[in-house]
Amino acid sequence: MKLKPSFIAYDTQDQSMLVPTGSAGFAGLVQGNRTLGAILSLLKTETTEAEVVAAMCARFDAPQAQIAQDVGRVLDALRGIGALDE
Amino acid sequence: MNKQLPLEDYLRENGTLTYSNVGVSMLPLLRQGRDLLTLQAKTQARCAIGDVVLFRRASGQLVLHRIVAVRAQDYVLRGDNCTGDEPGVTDTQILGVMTGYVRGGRTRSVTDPAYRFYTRMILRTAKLRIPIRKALRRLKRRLRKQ
Repeated sequence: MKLKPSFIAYDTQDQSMLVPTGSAGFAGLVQGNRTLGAILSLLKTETTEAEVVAAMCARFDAPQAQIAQDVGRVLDALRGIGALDE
Repeated sequence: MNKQLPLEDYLRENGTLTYSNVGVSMLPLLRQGRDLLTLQAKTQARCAIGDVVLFRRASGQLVLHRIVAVRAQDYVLRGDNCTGDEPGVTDTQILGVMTGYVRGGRTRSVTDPAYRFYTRMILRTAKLRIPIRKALRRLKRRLRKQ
């Protein structure tokens, strides 16, 4: 899976955002913390949910089950707005 | 993640908004599907020549264009890639003023020297650029008819 090119991931000083472009078919804005930014960054290239969880576990000091749950929630939300190519 | 706010309310609540543009009227500055722009909510202060502003037309359409003239009661606006002026835009129609843009992942401010140079060129070359573009458009139309 991968982020669709019709969505642009962008980081400000204190938050991460996912902005749809005209062809995205979604009018809104996804805002989150650096964890969202890290997930979006991984989704810029083809990857799997397991790879995202593994990368997040290596980066953040938290139980793997918790990270897997959080990653799953973010990916579901991204699927919900049609931001993922799968 | 599911909070829904109209753009005006979002800008009022957050002060700024980074979003994408639709259309070609602000080329070559903003490329649809590739660049983002950051808006700051409009304050009581009047805008200045060269400011890129988001305003709502009477029809409800949201438009991002540049101010090319400031008049006592209103502004005259034009897209960087447009040949026609849009007079009669008032302060109450303006929702936000562009403070920066994101191109190729890099954030640029409207105070950057390169952007200021671009703005000066867009404004100063209009009298030459626009008649040439209109003439080219007429020529293309004529050639198509033949």
